[in-house]
Amino acid sequence: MGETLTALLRNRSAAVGLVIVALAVLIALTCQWLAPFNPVAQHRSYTTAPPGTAIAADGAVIAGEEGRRFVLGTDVNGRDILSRVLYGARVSLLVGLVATALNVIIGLLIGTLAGYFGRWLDVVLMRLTDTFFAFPGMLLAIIILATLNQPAVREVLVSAAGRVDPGLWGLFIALGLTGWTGIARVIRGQVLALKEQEFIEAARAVGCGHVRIILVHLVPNCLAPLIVLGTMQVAYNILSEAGLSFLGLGIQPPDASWGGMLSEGRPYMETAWWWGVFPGLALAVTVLGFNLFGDGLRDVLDPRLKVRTG
Amino acid sequence: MTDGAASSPDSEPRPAAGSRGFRLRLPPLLRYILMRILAAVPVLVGVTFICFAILMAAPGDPVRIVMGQHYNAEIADSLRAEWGLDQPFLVQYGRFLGRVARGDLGKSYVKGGLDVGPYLAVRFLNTLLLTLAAMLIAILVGMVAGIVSAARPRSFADYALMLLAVAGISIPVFWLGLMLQLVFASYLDWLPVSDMKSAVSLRVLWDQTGGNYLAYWWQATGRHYVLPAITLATVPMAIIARLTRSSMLEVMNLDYIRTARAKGLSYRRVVLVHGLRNALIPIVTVIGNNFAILLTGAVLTETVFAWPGLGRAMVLAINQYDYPIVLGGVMLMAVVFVAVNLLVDLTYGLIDPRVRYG
Repeated sequence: MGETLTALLRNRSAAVGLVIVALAVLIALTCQWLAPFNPVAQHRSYTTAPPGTAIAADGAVIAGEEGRRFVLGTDVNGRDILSRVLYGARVSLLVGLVATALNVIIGLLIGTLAGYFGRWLDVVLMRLTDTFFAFPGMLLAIIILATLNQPAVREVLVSAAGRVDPGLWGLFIALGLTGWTGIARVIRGQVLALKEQEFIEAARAVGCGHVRIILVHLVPNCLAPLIVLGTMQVAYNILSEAGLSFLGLGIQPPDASWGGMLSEGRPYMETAWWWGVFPGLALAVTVLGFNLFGDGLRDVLDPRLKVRTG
Repeated sequence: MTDGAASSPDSEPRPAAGSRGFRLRLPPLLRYILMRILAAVPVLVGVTFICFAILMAAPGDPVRIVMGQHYNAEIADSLRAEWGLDQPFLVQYGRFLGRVARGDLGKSYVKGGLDVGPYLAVRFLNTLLLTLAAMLIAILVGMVAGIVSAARPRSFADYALMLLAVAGISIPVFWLGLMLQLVFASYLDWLPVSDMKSAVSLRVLWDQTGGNYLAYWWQATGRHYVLPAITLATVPMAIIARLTRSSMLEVMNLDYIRTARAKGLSYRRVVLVHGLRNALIPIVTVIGNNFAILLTGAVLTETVFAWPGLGRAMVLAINQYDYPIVLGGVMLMAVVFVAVNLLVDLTYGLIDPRVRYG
């Protein structure tokens, strides 16, 4: 374990990626203290203020804001872009991580079952995987989200979820149900190769049941590809979340999300470029961090995956 | 390859064919294609079934939404009967499959009873043209970048190109599109922001360009492709560059490359002829995958550039509860996806003569 960690830190792309990811996580956890303004507070006298504008004494919404600057400007409702970008990190990471966790669970389940039990179960599960794979990437997520966004479904989600934004729930479900096919295929291949090996036969010989063999002997041996693919899947899910919010299907305004900000700022591109530039930049850097980290992990943990991940 | 069965197609034992009852005698390649098409049928049925199930599980009533303020119970009932929405789920799905098998995708709920098939065909053509332009850029630039990187691994050029490539897969395409619009359309005013429609009529444009067809084509069509094609090309370009590099590096370590170098061939020739050809199979796979993904998933780019393609048509239809277009589009996309993957598998045989289909 220590060896892996050293190799990982020595790998330049992994180290840079790790720093970016750690920074993003830190921002997501502490954005309520980091953000200079309330992300939904509207400064009516400072709409589409360019970056660096300072608040005059009479323009403050909350007492004590006088003299503070909108470092990255404001949007058409006078909301601080920097604060919204910081809060957007929370949505992006939350959706990226939860959706990926669902992807990993589904992919692991289908991959190990298909690979371990083989025969008809393999055929059925792999046909199912092919079917989900043949679904054009975002389209299934769009259809699921559009369904979940209907008022009647939202009510159910709200009552079940309590304080969690129903938009978030929709994103978890839509992305969680769609991104698992690659993981399932790799895990199946891994299990197919592993189950013929002697240590599995030995485990069976001493009387281990199927469940024990899968959980104790097979799954831990699949961890390397799982971690690599999972990290890259986080990047993919963050991009998808932004894309869905950009289409107006994800997080609903006034809540801050990077994709939503891009969608709102798009008509004002020529007059208020900062509205569209900064959230996109934050998004690109975060995704870059996960991809660099994933690249490094792959080179250290499982270089054979290069064929699959490019 | 000394294996007789593989080298001559006639060596298949004839008596066995007869004794097993009916068996189609086809050349192996044709039989392979046929088998693949047959194997695609359950996938296509599965895709439409999942889509159908999600749409039907939704509590919203398409009739109510389509009619909006002009809701009238009597007309609504007749519409429901006409669209088959009053039938049980499985009956509806069966009818849908029956219609699809006859090549009829039904009529749109919203667009005044428009035939879905021709509508989607036109939209798909627009997407196809854009995708072809994008893939051309992606393949050319991506492969050159990958080869340059692999030829001099760990050089400055290698690091710079691979950093660009990882940036390319990380950048959100729709944001890149917006930025390109901001720079090249709004500030520099070199290219149009979006919209295939030109301000002047085509007739006027033709006169303005003095009958120069190339200039006319550029003004009317070509320049509208530049920004969306570059936007769409970014991700596949980066993926192709990364994969070309890693696939080439793997091959370049093999013995026959050393042999080629040892017998005095130039490095350039070894890289381009001996290395590339053998590194090509994974590259073709990823090109095919990305081609299929662009053909079916260019929703965001098409939205940013207001491109009248399939992706945008689908999003619009989903928002309008226009189920026939959604189902027809999903069906069309799945068919395209399966077809492109089959084509990719068939090109393996062209690249590598050792590949056999059976």
